[in-house]
Amino acid sequence: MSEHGIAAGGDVRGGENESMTLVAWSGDLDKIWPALILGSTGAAYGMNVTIFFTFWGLFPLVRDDVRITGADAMTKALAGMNRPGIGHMKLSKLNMAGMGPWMMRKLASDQKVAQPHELIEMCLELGVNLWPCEMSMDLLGLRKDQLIEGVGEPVGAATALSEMSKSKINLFI
Amino acid sequence: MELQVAKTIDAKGQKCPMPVLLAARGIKELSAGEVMVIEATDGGSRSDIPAWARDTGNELVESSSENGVHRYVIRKT
Repeated sequence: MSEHGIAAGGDVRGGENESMTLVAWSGDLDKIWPALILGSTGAAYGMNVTIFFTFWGLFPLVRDDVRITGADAMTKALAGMNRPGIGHMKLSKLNMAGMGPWMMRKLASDQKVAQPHELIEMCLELGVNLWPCEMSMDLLGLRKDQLIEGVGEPVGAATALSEMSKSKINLFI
Repeated sequence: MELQVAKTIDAKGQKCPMPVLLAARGIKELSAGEVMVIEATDGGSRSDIPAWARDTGNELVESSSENGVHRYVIRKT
């Protein structure tokens, strides 16, 4: 049925290897975190998992040490007001100028809940496809070399939709 | 009956979904027929590990709990 048959998800046995596609459109810590939990768990389940990162969702894919991204004054200002990198994501509510995310990470660390950057590593290790949206990269002035190692080649909406049409589970987070 | 354990995964203290992720990572390194032990303290693992084993086609040989540590024996099929 799947003519692509890309073997993701490692060699964990999973019946006929069902697929799950997540669209991560939000850079909010409280959305990207559960998206990474579901993505990595899906791969652990032997599913072929793809996460398509678009709009603000691209910023968590930028390496934490990249201070500013952007191709011109406007896209640079965007990154200046909204620092990229998984370590700099904000909460959608109770952000409190960074206190909220700090507390959330502290709680997670105290209770041994995996941090977002650990989950990204797990995703890569378990073979999750991390696909950056090409159009959003151009729009936000992001370059491939500014993204973390291991993400796939930038793709378009049609490629994402093609994957979604083959997926049993599709989520927009 | 003594089982030959090829690998032991220590997921104690770790919360959902880490026990399942560590189990999935661990079982990739086993050959069919080999046995892996997973130890976890997360209460969610009591439903998650058996479900994961079943859905990935592996065999949950036994599970037990002692002093808050849940222990699962999984055979890769």
